Amino acid sequence: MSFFHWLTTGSSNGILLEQEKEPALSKPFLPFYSSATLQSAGFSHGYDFTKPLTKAQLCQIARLANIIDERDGKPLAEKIENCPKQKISVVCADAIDDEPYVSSQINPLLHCRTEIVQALNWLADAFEAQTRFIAVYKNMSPLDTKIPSVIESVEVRSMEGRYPMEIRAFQSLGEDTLIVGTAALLHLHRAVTQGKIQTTSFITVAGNCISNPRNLEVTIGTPVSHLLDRCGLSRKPSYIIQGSAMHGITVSDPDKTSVRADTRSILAFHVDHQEQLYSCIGCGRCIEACPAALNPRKLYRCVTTNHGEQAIALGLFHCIGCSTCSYICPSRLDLSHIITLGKQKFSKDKN
Amino acid sequence: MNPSIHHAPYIRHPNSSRTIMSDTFIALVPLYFMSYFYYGSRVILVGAVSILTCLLTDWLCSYLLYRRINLRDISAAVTGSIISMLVPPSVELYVVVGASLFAILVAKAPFGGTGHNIFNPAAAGLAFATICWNSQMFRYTAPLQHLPINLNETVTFLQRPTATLKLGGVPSLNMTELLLGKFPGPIGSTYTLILFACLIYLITRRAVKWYLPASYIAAVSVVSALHRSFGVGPLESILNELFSGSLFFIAVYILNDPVTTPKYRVARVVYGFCAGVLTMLYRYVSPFELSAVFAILSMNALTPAIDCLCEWIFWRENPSAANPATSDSDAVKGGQSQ
Repeated sequence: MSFFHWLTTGSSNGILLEQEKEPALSKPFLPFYSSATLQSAGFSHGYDFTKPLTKAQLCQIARLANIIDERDGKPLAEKIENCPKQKISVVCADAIDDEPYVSSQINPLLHCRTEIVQALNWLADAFEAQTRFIAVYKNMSPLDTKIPSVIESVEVRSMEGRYPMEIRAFQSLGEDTLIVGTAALLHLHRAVTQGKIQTTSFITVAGNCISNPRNLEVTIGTPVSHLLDRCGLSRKPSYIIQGSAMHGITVSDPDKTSVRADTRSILAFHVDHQEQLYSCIGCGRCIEACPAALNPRKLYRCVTTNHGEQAIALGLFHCIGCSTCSYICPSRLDLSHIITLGKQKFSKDKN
Repeated sequence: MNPSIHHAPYIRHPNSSRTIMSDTFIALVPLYFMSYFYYGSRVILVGAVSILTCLLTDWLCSYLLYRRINLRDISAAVTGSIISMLVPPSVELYVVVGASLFAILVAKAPFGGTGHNIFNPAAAGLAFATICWNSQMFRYTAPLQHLPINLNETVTFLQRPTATLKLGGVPSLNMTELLLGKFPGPIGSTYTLILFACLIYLITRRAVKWYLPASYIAAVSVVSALHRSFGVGPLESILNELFSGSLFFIAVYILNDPVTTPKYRVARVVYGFCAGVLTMLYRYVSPFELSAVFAILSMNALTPAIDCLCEWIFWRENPSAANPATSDSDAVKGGQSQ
């Protein structure tokens, strides 16, 4: 059955990516504050945090501290408020960094374990959730840093597998799950215990031009060029990326681009210029790599030739946007970019 | 497209189209060494002529079609090399030139160049040469006899074992001869052991998917085991059919051309199986010995149809396989909102 399934569906379990996390992951994160963080006034919420906090109290604290969840860029207060209490049975701390170079979620988890677990416990107690766990990504290649299996009696679940793991791991969890990023949990802990407003975000600075890759705790609003100066550039980068290597956007002017609350990484790459001179040679690797079992090659052709209905029939809107097809394509076609453009274009047409 | 604008992802798999093509080309080089050992320097000349003709014609076509000439595109060299491997060592050079010209000018360039051709250019060129210069294409010489550059009367021509098979006889070849290719045959397609090594190299480099040659060879084996001459064991029949001609070479190099094969796994298996059955049918009924080339050309015409058929059967019936859970689309968007 499994062989037949493998043969007849194009679905795969993703691609193996070199993670390259190591120099940044094992060193503890460094503070890199500007005056905005150092001079920011605290607040006092007036709750006694030695006793269990209720959902409304946590929500109030998150609102006062302006905590933004770095997973999806939404305010944490809004996320807590929108979750009905009866519905939530699983609370999950997300530390899945499945993309190369990025370790800005797992690094705070490893170095501020007790704080993050305490904040997770407060949230889970407030929702009266039975299950609580921390999700981490475990790649095939062994890490030098050991990730413990239990932190303060909270289970650490290793998500083993290939890229894209984060999207698929949370698809398998149901609607009754509250997923909060570890950095947001750390900020929540600081807000509860010290009354601190969130003025920082955790950022990995890495890439093959960075001489000293590190995780930094950066004041929000710091220009990207300051971060690059802090970690050192060994050579001139071809492009600087805000966000991860698979999904990020290029920074055209590092002096005028500033760090946001949901920025997870700043990467600087130097590549020898690769010209796109081949057309698709039809090797079928994109079909074998696609985790959603789509045909990226055909979708690409439908979108470029403006065949919207055929593209939708082929499952255009089932694309999860993981960029696996572009990564694997030997002709270096911008498959995922064109397919994402097609999604925007044809959903407008439908409306 | 503006090359200064980069889109995600910013990291790419190190294998490019050029690596696929150069892997195939590298896997063809050992065959030249072996054929030099068997037939002398004439085979190098034949190879050089066909590769250069293909490359120059390809560049000329790019120039005429106002495309940028891509010096890094060596797929034409692979085509030329495959053509030179499948002609006899005693072939006249104009036959090689004609086959190469037909491959690029008719089978490749009018469809839009690399990646757009419907028929495998090397197979088309060889089919053209087989039909036009039938006597030239099937006169072979004995191995280990170095040929002069200019053919003269001292060269004796032989028939190869596939001709014996075709007439209903049994070629008297022992195992060593079969594996080392020590019998009259085309320049580069009789060295079974080297071909096996090249196939394994191509599979490990992921230029070839193992299931496509496997299904082709399985089909050929089944047909040749069922339809065998009187007094011949099934295994001997299979070995003779597989290794005494150019069939195994075609299974390694021409069948796996990524451009002209179907794209889905199951479609590739069906394609390989049908090509195998068709090869054996052509071998029994057609007037030519070089039947695998014609079988693959016929199947190339059906490639898009096989793809569409497999899409229709397996993706329509089973929407859950094609469309995994999408209810949690907020989480999906959340994961990539950076």
